Amino acid sequence: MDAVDETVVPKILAPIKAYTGAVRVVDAGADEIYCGVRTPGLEDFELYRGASTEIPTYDEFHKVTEYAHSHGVEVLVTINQPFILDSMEKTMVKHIRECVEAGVDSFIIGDLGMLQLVKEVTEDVGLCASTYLSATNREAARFLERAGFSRVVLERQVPLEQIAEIARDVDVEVEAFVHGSGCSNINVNCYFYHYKFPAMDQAYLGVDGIKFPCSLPYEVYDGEDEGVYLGTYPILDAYTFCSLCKLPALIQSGVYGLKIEGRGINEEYQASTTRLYREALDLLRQDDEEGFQRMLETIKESFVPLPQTLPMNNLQELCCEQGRCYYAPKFHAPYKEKLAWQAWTKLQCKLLVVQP
Amino acid sequence: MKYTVHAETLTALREALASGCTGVRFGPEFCEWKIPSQEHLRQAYEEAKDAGKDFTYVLPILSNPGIEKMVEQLGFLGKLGGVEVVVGDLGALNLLRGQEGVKPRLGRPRVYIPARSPWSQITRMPDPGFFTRRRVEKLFYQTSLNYVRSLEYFKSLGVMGADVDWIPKCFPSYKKIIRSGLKLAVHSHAIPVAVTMRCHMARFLGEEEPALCSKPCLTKAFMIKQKELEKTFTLHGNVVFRLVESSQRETKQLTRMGVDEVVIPMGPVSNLFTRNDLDEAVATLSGGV
Repeated sequence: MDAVDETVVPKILAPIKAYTGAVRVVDAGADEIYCGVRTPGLEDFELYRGASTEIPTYDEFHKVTEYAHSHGVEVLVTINQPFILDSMEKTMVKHIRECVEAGVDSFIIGDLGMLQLVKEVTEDVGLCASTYLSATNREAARFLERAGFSRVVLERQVPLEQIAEIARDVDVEVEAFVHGSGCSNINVNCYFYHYKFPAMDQAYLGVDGIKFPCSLPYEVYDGEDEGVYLGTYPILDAYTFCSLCKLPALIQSGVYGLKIEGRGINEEYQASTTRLYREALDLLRQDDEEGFQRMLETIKESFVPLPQTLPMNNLQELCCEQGRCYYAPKFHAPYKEKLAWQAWTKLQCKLLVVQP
Repeated sequence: MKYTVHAETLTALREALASGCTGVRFGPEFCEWKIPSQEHLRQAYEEAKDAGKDFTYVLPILSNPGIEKMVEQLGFLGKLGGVEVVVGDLGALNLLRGQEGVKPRLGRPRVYIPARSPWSQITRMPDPGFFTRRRVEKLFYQTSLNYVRSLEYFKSLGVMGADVDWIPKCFPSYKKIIRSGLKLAVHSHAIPVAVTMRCHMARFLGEEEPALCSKPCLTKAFMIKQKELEKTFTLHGNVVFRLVESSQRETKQLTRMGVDEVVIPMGPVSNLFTRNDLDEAVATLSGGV
């Protein structure tokens, strides 16, 4: 393995939803952190993510930026809505100003109108294009660069070799997702909002792993109502994703940042995932291939829920054995299988540790 | 108001041209593996011109290889002059920038409409209360083009129109877009609920490689049912649709609002395959007017 140039080791972006989480991910080795901040007046309008995934107040957000900055860590705020309306403008202007006052370093923006507004309200922040803008090719990244963004988060479905091409062909910083719950569909072109309601809870019974509408079983019929019943499958299956094995290739791709998903998940997950990727990146930075491979094996094969394997709940069963590595080709990946009783027991053990 | 038929293949296009529609759209709206060859594009354009119908080229969300393919095609379209191109992707819009011979319009993947969601819930709140629900509903039935800065920005890039869905509760918000000067096209029959670059249908049918896909979606769609949610969708290639009924009263409403175009999709989702099917569909929508 080639030695990794210090200057090209990607940054780790860790998710948080509270000050306590920020302290933990910074201590775990995050280079940057990202979060939502609750927007007064828009708390009820929740499409993809709920208010519970956001830092509840500007005061708490100020504490986050103070702590992060004192450790040399930048803070990005994601503006949660995939669009803005004339009737939302005043609220958003106030929100942007409050975040700037509290010390935000960059905004993650998912709408071009919102970009114009942020540029008008403040000049002192970085501008990062969200996956809501669906950058899936180099021209889209160039478009966003010309629009004024300094960083582009690529859509989750961009394959590894194309990430490298895009990172090579554009002048903006390029960020890629590495770990989380995955998306079956293109972010902003999916309207299966993750709402919870009684019928949805009922539908999730018996579903292993991530519980999103696309991971549910569907009866499949060929043709219309009278068509042939082909069986019941999780045909829109979400992919649990993990990129640990692909880290060397991701480093070679030249991406600026590796983003860990999970603003809505608990702090234990946020911190331990960050630590895991930190340790892996540090091993690769030191050119310790053997250590990196040993680490992968430990994570994949440990039955006992070691603290460092917490974020990898049933990694082996849900990802490795079923060909669900994030950056592996998925065109003909098999559908998720029900967990065997051993795996189920292991998962319960881990959950007990994560949520005592 | 124009009635335009959207066809993905030359065979389908020829049926459309033989029907009473005003214009045709050609090209895949959602799957880049169905982008026609340069030769098919040229043929489609010439046949539409010979038939005296308006011609619009449609582009999906593109990957890097898809963008490579477009460079050549957009060059060809640019030379023709005045051809409308529906872009599903900011990358394609970037390529069109400064090409005077092409008129870009935003495709459905580039217009965000929360009400495409299949859930009747419009908030995560379990019990939002009457007034909160009303307030949230007002936001829910608007689009990403209901913001003046977004509109002006796209117009500054030469965008002259946009595509939206047949969602009657959104019609008032469409009216505002039309007033701003953008030409609006409303799609009948099906609303895209989810789009992926990993094809759900190809995976189910065991297609080996996207580039070698036999394109079963040209003739086939699956109906998928979620029992507990009591929801039925149409899975067509890499898109999950929910079907929508249209009424003549709504068509009249769209005409009064100044909608430029109603787009009727051909293929297994709408079950419209022949010129007769299309003529019937236009007659049903327009009430024979």
